[in-house]
Amino acid sequence: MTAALEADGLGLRYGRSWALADCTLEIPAGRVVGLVGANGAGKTTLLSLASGQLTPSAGSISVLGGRPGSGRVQLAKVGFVAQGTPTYAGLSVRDHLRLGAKLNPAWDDALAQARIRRLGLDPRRRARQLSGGQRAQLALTLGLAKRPELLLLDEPVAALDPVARREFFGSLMEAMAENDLTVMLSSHLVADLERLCDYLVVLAESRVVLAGSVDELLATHHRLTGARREGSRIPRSHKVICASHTERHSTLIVRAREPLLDPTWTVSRLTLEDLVIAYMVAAPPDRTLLGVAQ
Amino acid sequence: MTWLALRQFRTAAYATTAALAVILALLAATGVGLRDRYSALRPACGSGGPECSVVAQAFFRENRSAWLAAIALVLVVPALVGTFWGAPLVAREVETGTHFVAWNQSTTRRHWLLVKLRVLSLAAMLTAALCTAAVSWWSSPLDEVAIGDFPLMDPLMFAARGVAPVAYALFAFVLGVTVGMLVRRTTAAMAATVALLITAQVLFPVLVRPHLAAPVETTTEISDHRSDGFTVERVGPDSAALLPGSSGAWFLSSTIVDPSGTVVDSIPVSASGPCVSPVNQDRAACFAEMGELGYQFQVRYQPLSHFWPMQARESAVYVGLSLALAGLCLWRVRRNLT
Repeated sequence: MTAALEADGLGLRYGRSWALADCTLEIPAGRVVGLVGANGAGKTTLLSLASGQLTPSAGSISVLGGRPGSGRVQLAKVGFVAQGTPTYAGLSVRDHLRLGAKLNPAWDDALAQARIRRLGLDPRRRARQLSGGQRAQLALTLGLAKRPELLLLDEPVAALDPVARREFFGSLMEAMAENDLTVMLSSHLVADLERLCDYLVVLAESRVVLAGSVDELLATHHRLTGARREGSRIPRSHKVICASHTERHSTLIVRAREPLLDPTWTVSRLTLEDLVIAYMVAAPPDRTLLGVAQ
Repeated sequence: MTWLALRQFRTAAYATTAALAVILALLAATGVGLRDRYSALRPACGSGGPECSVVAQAFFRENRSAWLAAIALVLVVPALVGTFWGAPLVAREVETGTHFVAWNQSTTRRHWLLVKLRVLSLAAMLTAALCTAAVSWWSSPLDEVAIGDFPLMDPLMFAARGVAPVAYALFAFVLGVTVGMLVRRTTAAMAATVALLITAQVLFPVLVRPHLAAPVETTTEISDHRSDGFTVERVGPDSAALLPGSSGAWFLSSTIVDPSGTVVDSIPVSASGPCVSPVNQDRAACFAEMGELGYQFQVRYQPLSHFWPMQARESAVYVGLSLALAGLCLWRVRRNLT
């Protein structure tokens, strides 16, 4: 099975600063991938590179075995709902569907029409008359009815209220159940992704700091709490992601390859949010090492 | 893709069609009356002469504002096309993020832009052609009467007649698209497009147009009776000026030279000769004295016969520039926009 996305040393530079640097990733097909990171961490850049909206200034990226944006065939395989779920304000819902039908060889009109009906969208309404949630649903419909193998969603719910957010994710989950596709969506809220994703990529300061399947990540990361000790020896099999100390206690978040046998530590499970935040706080990676040494 | 290009253009197309319909109806309604008046005026003129000129001038003066407005319309259409169709074409999409919608269907960006350019440049040229043809038809009686003050080859008239306005419209549209792609903000792109178009319309007649065809360079006697349609006027007691008159020519330069060929400002006429009289008395005798002293006009001009060759070449230059800009856009659209 080919990977949905493979990146090797991928980078994009604006002038002298890197929006994304040295990104090496391999995302298996069939996953629902959550892309997390602070604002400006490089989420949009990575998705734009994957959809072919941007061309890299370093390294290489391959999506479903092809170069992103390289031609009609490649474009047909990848759906991309850009940040803010843009739609043509002056065009009606029906016009949007016609646009999709005219421009995509694999367009699934039955799917599009059924979705619009189910969502209760009036086909004659112009996009500017729709609510933010309805516009997002329309953009998602365009992305789904194109029948892509990989669907990229950039902060699709950022502007939506909690109800619209729930509805959006609900219909996305439904669509994923019905169609065999890989989904990659970004958010700066872990809670958004927790219900949906089985694979996680964390970006911090333009770099990928963590990537892996959610189950595996949760199984290998632990929180260690114990009496305060600085610079104490932790087995080599454990990598300290971040450490915090109060007067009496030390709390470490570690990535472990094998169980920790030291009984002076209390080991507890992490939530996905704890894990993501640990990596976001700890970035960039080289600084983590420094922190441990102190 | 053509469907999308046309669908996005629909509102603008309706508005333009409505405006064009009003303008064409207005020109058609008044144009017929204008022609009737002009043909009634002709027999009254008979063999020409000063009375005829007076009647013709009165006819022109009556319709002068409308005639100038019609010229302004032809000159403004390309600018409108460039500003309102060209500049927002890509800039507005990028501004509202809708280019992401278009670029993520199964169509390449280059194809997307190519179709848009094709559909709208055809519309731009069609609009300009309709306007220019209607205005030229409407204006033709007045153009004939006005030729003394507004020669057809003069920059103002040259740019408002013939096929050049169609080429300007194409250029203005593609220039607008290019600026929009580079600036990526609609309002700024519109302003920059207007500024660039005005600059082009001012600089082109000064820098390029005189060289589109080799100008005629000749010396001609200072005399009242001419076969070339030029007219001679007295400028004070000791000088004269050659004007295009009814020839329709565009004078690039016109000077007086002495017998050795040196350019001079004034002619040393005798203090008691016919040139001393008030300006409109003894014109012929005064010019004869100037001629006898060996002074001549030296003139460089583009004659009326160069109208169509120069129109064709100017249009070719603008079409060439448009193609180059379109090529630049098609190259640019494949690169990172942000």
